[in-house]
Amino acid sequence: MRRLYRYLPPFAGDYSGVCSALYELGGMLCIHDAAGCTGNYVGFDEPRSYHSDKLVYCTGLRRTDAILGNEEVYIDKVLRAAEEMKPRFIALVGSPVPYVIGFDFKGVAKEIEKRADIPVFGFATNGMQGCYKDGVVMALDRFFAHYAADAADAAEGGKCEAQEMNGGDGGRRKRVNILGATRLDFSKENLTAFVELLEKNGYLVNGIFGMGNQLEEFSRFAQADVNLAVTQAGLLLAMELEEKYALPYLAGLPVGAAGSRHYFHCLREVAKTKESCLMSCKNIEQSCTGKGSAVVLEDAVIAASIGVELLAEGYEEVMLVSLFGEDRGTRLLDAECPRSEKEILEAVNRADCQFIAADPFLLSHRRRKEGDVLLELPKYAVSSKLMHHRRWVYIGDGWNQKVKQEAE
Amino acid sequence: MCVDHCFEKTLYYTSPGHGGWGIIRIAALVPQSHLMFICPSACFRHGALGAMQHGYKDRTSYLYITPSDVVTGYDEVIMEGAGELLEEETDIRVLFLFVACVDDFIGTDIDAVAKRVENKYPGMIVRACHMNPIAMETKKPPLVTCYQKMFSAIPAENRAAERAVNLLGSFAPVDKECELFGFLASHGGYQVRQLADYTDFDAFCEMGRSRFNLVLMPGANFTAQYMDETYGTRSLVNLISYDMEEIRAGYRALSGLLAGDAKAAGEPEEEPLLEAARQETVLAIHRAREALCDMPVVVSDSAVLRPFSLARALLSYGFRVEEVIAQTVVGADRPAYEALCKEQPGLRVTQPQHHRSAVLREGETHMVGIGLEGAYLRQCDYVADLSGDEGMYGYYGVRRLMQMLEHAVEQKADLKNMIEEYGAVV
Repeated sequence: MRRLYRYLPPFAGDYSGVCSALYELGGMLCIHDAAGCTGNYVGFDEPRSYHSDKLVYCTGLRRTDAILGNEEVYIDKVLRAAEEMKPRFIALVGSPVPYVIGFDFKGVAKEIEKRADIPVFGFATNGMQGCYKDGVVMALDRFFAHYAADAADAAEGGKCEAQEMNGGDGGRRKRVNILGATRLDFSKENLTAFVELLEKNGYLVNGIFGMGNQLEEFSRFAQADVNLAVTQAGLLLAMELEEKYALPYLAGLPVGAAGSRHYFHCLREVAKTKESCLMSCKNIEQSCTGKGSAVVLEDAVIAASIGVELLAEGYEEVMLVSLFGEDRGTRLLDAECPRSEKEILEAVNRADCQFIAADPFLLSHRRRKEGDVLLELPKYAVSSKLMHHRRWVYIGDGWNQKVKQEAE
Repeated sequence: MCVDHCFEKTLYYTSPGHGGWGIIRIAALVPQSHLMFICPSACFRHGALGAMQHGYKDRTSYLYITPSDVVTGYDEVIMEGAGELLEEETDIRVLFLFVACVDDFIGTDIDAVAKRVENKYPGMIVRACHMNPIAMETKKPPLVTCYQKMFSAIPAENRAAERAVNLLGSFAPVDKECELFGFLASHGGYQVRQLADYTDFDAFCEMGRSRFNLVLMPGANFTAQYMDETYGTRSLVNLISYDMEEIRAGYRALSGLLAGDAKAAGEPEEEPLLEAARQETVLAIHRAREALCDMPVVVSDSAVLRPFSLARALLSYGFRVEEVIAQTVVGADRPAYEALCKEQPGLRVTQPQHHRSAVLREGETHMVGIGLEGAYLRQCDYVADLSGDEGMYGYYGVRRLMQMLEHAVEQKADLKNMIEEYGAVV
């Protein structure tokens, strides 16, 4: 039966994706649920909770109010909290019950906005379909749309200013946006390493969307020359932004020494030609071959980036497995998208693979055989804080150091 | 001190110190049981990760429902999923089918589905449970109904005829060091039975043959009533207390209950065993008070069910209680709350889930917090790591709390680590 899950925990849900992507922006995140969904997010999907002063709340939805449609109870609670806590915006985030009773997130958001006089966003997430990735896309997409006018003005101003300073566009450092990076995907250390590597290679980070960021960055997103899609969510957003604002994107991450060289080669090309690119779809230089097959189970963009390094290291075939659902991006990346626990565990147990990289929870179900190389990739959206202490930096040559260490 | 109006209904903040065992961990106490959750995929992530953390993930499974199931119902999905599980796992004696909040609006006849599974798998006990915090403020919140379902797994033919007393409402076992064990043994040779002690389902069923139930938490009242009606037990409500007088009265009531069944030995206060326990506790209180050197104490409702009763008891023992962190006043705590309103106008009361609690208050941290949530919100330097009255009862409970306080002030707490190790779920 495809629907019975016995070994793996449910992965982070869509509402966690919304909250994670907006967490650091100074808003008030209100999850419309009884308690448990908020408990999922703050307890298991948000590593930044401890010592945080961010405003994440549960509306405390109760049965009678849900049945009678007593929306005013919750509107009142939100308004009172907003008046006192002074958030920069309010996000109303859905859960299964509001979905079943047909709660009008858009309408209620509009109603609150009229009375609170700050931006209010309604997200009709339901914890039932998709996963955190869909929430990240939903949240960031709405924010890009909301700040688009500001962004367009800033883009004009920014470009003029840069041209004046550098005597023309050619001398300016290329600006990049990092799209779709959330704490459900990346550790803080990996993001820091990525930013440092970008700067070392002469790029200016214009905005990070999903973590380690500020609300102001949305107002200048259009100043970037290239969007860097670092996850499936990032890729979906990048495609959208390309269509709307003609911003080219590069999908991938610099993983490993060879992978990083390939990545920056692709980035230079995208910046120069303005043509979007998936780094894993460009030819990769292989120093040797004969290492056999590998499988990487992760977000498809991260998996594909790891795949580039593995191919460069001499693996002949790398199977990419997305744990977070099929979408336009996974089809372009040619990633497999298991639709049940059974299929995930089949991928984990592929007999013809010598190398497997995945979250420790998944690796623990691998039937070990001689010569297997297993590499842990702790993923917060999967194993949460239970495996967070085993995180490591795979960006840049961090990958090579780890692989060497494991081999020793 | 505020009087009632400080208990506001606001948006709820959930601090890192919030939470407890959660229904899943509690239901998993039933030996050889398996918990199947029929719910939207995101619903039970906390429960599954909690199960992994506490080592019983292999006893849980999930059937994820989809929007189309919401429309068409999911009885057959459950039948199929339960079938697949039970064909593979032959050691399961009790299967709990849990539905989530959404089911309150779908109306699956989950009891009927449970019966169908039972009929298909003779010998298997199947119970339907609701994990529906949306019903939290009704007369039957999820903990109350689930706890009753756990005990309803005991076959109804059991009769309350054995010299034993069940402790109902405590999830962590009360330690055998507690004077209750000796007290019951000396009152007609009664033994103590508690759920957490069992690893075998057949052995657990002997709780249906105990003559008495001692109800330690109000949430277990419904279960006690069920057991009285089904097995013929007799129940006495004797809530966990840290007040010496209340404890004495509790033993007196227990003595009376047993006397109706067997020859009781005199007034409890005259009994050497209880007197010795009381004397030992007085010394423990003295030692703890000396160790704290008038350090301020914060009492949290994450530590105990009745924080105001505890605060009042501690004040009467000479401790400097400065603040009570409580979301509300539970019925059984109201007399203490009302007394404190009169006696301690300076006592501060804070709702841990109030929207204001999201921003940590700055101030003195040289204080000892009883309970993780209060300790977090006040950033207490010292922490007595008590949660949900776990393992407490009688004079022993007071003594143990005093030891915890004494131990707590020996060195500054690594609160973050304590919270992570406890592994609470909301």
